[in-house]
Amino acid sequence: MRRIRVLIADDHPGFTSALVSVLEADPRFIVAATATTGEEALRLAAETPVDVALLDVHMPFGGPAAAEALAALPYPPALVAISAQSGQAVVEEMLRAGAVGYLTKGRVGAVLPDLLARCVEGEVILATPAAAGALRAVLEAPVARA
Amino acid sequence: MTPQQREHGTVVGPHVIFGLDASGVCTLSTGPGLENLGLKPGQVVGQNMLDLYAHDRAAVEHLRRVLSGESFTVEREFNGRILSLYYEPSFAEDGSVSGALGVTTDVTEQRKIEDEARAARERARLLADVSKALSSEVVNPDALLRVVVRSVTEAVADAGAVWLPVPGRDLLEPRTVWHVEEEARKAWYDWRAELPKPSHLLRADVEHLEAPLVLDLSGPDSLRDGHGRFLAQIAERFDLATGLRVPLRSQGALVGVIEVARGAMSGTFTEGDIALVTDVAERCALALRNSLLLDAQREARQQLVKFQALADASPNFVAISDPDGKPVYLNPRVLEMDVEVSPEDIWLTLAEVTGKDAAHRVRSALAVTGRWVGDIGVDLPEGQILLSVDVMVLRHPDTRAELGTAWIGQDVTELRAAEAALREANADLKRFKALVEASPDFIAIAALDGTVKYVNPPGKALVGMDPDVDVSRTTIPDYLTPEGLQASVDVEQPAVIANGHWEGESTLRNHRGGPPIPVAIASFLIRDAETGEPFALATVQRDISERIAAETALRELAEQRQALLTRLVDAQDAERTRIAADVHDDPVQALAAVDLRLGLLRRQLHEHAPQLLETLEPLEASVTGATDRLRALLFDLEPPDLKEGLTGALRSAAAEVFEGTTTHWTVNGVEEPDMPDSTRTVAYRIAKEALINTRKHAQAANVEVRIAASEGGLEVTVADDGVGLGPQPSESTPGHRGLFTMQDRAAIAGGHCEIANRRPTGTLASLWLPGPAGAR
Repeated sequence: MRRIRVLIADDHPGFTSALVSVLEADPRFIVAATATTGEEALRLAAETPVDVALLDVHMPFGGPAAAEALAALPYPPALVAISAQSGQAVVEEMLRAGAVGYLTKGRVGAVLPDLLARCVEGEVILATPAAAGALRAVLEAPVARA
Repeated sequence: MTPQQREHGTVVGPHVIFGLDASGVCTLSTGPGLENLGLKPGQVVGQNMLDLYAHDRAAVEHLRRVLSGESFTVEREFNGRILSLYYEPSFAEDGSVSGALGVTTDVTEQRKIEDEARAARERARLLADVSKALSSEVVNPDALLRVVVRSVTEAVADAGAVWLPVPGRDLLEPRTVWHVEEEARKAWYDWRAELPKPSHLLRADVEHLEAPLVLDLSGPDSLRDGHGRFLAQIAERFDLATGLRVPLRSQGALVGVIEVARGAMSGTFTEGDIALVTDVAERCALALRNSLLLDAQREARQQLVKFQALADASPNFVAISDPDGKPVYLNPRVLEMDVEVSPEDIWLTLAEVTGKDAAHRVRSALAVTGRWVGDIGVDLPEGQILLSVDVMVLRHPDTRAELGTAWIGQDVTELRAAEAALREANADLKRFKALVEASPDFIAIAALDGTVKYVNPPGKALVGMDPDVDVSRTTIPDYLTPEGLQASVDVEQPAVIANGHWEGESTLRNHRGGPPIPVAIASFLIRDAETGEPFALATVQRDISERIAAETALRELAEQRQALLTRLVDAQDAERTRIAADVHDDPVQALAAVDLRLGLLRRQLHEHAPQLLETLEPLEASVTGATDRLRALLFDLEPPDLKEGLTGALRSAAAEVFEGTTTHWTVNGVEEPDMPDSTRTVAYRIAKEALINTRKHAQAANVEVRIAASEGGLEVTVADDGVGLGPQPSESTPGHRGLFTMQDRAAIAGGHCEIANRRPTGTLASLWLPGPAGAR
């Protein structure tokens, strides 16, 4: 069974370390690369294609900009945002940038690997209270407002 | 010889008897009359009388006539004597004239007696004429005087005149003159036009003349009186030698003088002449006096009629009472008064209409000074009127006898009221003037042509003018700065003309060259109280230098506050951002890592030690709760995104706050004003706090946020239909700490925030923050 290649982009080493530990402990995943900025994540993803990119919303060149850049790659990974922020605006922005998942830091715990795997399989998982509002906003105005 | 003897005519004068023969030789000469002729008896006997009287043609003729046989009587003058001669011829037997006898009687005295008798008769006739004239001409003094002068002159003189006193002067002037000869009369009148001045008598020269005075007019030196030169000239011109001056006196008073004059040929005035003139003078004086009295009476009567007509027509109340107080005259105004005037005593009436005290006062004053002037109130049935009364005792001008009392009253009810009103108005005027002079404001009045009429002293001081300067030489532009003048012409004057007034602000020129003085102005037209026509411009201007300075200071203070607020908000935001970042980067990430590792631990325990899982669960819950709280803190710390204005930011906030609830919210920001970011940030935080409170406590179905401009600031209201505040919350009330935080935040920003219950239910949070300084 081929392992799911994961790119982790987060500028918090403690969290990244915990994330790596969690994913490495799961045989379905292999952490292909870790980055601390959006640029680094884009470069690494371009060099070595990955199946899924876990993007911290708050990091240099992170969030929507990094998501859009990654989504524009020839073989774009599934984009899953992970953030301590759970505001509707941020969620909406990430959705518009191409994210298929939105996980809230501190709330995912044990289920993170499962949610990530499902996103790779094509599901959209927005594990945050603001998801409904954000989705409604996107549906009501398909083109993002300036 | 006495006049009586003359009257009887019994005396015959001395006679002479003489005889002569046919040849004219005197044969007899005897008789008492010889003495008068200067002859002795028989002295001329033997002399031929024809020879003796050869030089006397009349005598020779008489002698020849008698010697021719004629008997006759003849009267002739001889040696100043008047002689009556009777000649009788004597005849011889042959019938021839043998001689003649003559009797000469001196009839000089007889003739004189006869003349005097005739003169007496003439005088009597003259006096009768004069008396008749006096009685008939008495009504016409000039005619009377003409008759008198003419009569007396014709009787005893060649010329005459009457002199009468000139009223009010100590002089007498000729009133009537006469000359017996018509030619002379005419010449007199012609000459009179050019009479030398003075052509009058001095009263002093004739005042004490008691008896007739004979004047020698032959030379000026003999005339001692003041008009001697005048009389002398008349005498010379009309050949007058002797004058007679007789005073005209009536009851001792001199009423005039009669003068008559004679030429040298007429001799001197006889006693009879003087008596005649005196007689006539007496009668004349009496008649003149009567005439003058009559005239005076007629005049007095006419005056009386006029005065009565005047009194009748007078708008005043006029009354006259006799010395006993009995009314003798009341003019129509008095009679029209609805007062019954006592027919016996006018004082009773006065006491009745004005009170006893007032009547007594008038009467006392009248008794002492003879006059009383003053106002008295008179009670009439239709009300009281005020009379200005002049009461005076009337006295005869000559005798000073009391004739009665005159009363003149003028209705001054309205006059006094008007005077009182005028006094009041004057007092008002003084008060207003004092007010204006004491006012610290610049107060000025100008004519419509811009000429300044008045500037109050504080006004002069304000613009740096000398207190004594004559402002009437100045015009409105003298007081204005160039900008002020422009504003006055463009704005103020048109407004005053159009609306009658204008209020605004401008500047006054400083006459001492200092900076312009800012003033608040109220200018208006002064109109005539009756016609409403404008006649002057008035302006009241207050020095607002201090106010302007205060406003400037206030504005600067507000700007400082705004700057401070901005810095405060900025600093707060920076601090919040730093805290948020710190929280986000460290505790949140750490907890997130813990969460992940707990998840990993859970999977491992699940496989290797399931019995420990329940120990893990509270740990996981604690981490999750801590994470949620930190997330809420991050939300709270999050700086607003004002890209879409306060409205957009609050929409985002409301969406986040009410996410997952059924509360329906709206944010109405149609009227959102343009405000500094600092103000909007404060408003955002307070309103978001209100939204959070609603979410936490209100259980509301609807929330409406409204953003609007108000009073130069920003107003935000958050209204819900929830349960309301309940009992008055305090700072210690759990969950209500936010309310006081909201109010504190608003106060720091210079605004205010109130949270109150709505009716019928719900909560209303109202927030107001000031706008930028000067926007109000």
